[in-house]
Amino acid sequence: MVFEKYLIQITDVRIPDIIYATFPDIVQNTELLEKVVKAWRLGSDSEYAQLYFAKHDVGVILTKLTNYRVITDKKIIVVTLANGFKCYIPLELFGNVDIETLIEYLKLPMQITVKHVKGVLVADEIKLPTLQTSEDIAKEIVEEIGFLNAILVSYGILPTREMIFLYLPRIMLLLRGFRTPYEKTPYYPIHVLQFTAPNSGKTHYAVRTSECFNYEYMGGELPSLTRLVYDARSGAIGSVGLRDGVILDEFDKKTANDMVKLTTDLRALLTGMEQGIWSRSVGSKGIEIRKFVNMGFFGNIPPFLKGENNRDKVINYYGISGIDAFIDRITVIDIWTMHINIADYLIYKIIPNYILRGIVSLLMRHLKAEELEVEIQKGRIERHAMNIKSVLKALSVNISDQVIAYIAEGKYSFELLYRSTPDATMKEKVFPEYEHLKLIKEKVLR
Amino acid sequence: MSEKPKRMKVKIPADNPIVCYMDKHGLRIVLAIKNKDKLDIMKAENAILLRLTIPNEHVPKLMYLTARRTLALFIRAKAKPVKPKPKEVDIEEIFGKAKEISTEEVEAEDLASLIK
Repeated sequence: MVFEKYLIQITDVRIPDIIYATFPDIVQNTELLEKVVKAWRLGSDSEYAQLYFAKHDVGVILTKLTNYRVITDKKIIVVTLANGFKCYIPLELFGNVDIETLIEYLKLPMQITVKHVKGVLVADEIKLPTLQTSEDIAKEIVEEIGFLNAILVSYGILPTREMIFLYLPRIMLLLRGFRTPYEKTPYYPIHVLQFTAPNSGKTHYAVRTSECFNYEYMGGELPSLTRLVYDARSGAIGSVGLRDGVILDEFDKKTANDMVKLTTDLRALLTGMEQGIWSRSVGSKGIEIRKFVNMGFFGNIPPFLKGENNRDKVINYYGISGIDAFIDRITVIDIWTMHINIADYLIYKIIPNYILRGIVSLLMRHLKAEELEVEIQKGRIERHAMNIKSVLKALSVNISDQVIAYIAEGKYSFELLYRSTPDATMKEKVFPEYEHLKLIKEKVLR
Repeated sequence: MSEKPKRMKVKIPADNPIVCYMDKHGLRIVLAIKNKDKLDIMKAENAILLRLTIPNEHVPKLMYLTARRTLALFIRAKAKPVKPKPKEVDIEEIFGKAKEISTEEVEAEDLASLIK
């Protein structure tokens, strides 16, 4: 079996699986792995970084930039690192490259040798990865077990019936859709909201996605527009400028502060999600970023949800002005009430990031705009249904157009789909590649 | 309270956002003027933002002036802490100091090339 060859066994569960996925070649080299973990922690763990720089003047960090601004006259980039430190990087460290390349470089994870001076970090050397996307290996794996199975196994998940339906909306978040049925190339963002019972692997999925793809994971508190779009005080460009997707975790939390923030920030979110225009105007300063960004909203299912369908339920739950337009822009609103313990489906093996990227990029090329052949509410819902159908078709999941229309309208959920599809009919009617499950089990659970 | 301070008339429409905060210089009032016509404070023609600093030594006295009620109301009801602008780092200085630090302490292996 081809896919079996590329599976990486997670040998030390204390090390996050994203390290195994990002550094597949050194999983057996414990000494090098230790160095990688240390550099990665120094770049992302603020407690560790503060204590480290209290004792050392120099350090090597592995990090992704969360936002940046350029001091043009000094030719220096000021970035805020994931570890909370400000880092000053002379532009010359990136070499003499054109602007487009430089913009791409700034999105990459990187190794920075830094010196600690007066509470800030000064970059001394930068090493950039040559991120590979292996479509050749991806193609071999996909031909063997299909797209959906391949993606789930890459994430370290056993592709059982529960997992297939639970992960379908999550996988949509990795893809782009179409605005009209006449378009050939997918480019339009797909936004997904999923509320599930706790412990269903949302955060695990979001973190791995943010490491593998150019996505940003924002857990904890609701991010401000300052972090998301632009910081007028420091002039730093936020996540939507740097990333292709943003995943907001714990979106169900509804503190008074969050509600005020959401109410005021909704206007910017609405145009950003629909037109790809992210604008901020603070005082006399105004800025606009034009870019399509996929938005994912994950949370635990709230105890009380009232409404006729999933869309109404979420609108009623938040109950703030403008929330209906926001919900209207989301392709899939998925609510799972069933308790799922993700640990029962983990295989403790993963497929490295460069292959997962290959699988997704291959899948994107398979996407074709698929119009529904049933009556459906015109406008955004019609577009959402078209994108859901396109993705499901590319993943070889056969669901009737009527059910897809109901899912887009929020009248039906992937949980109901799971409940109404018994194991016996799964292979024949819904997902022919389900037949590989037995074989995958044999190979991965050894 | 030896010298009698001048009386100050303060009449500010309620919808003008006001920020008061104390710092080492005294009580600072920042007033964003929404509707200048309604405003009856000093001569703020063509101004969209009025900044007023009341030196520390005058603050206790002012509290007893005509404006005291208004000021107290500002502070109690409308005052919110103003975040100071982040201090700009002296770039020449930090880069100068960074030059003095040797990187010998760390072995800079190319970990980035291992990222797949």
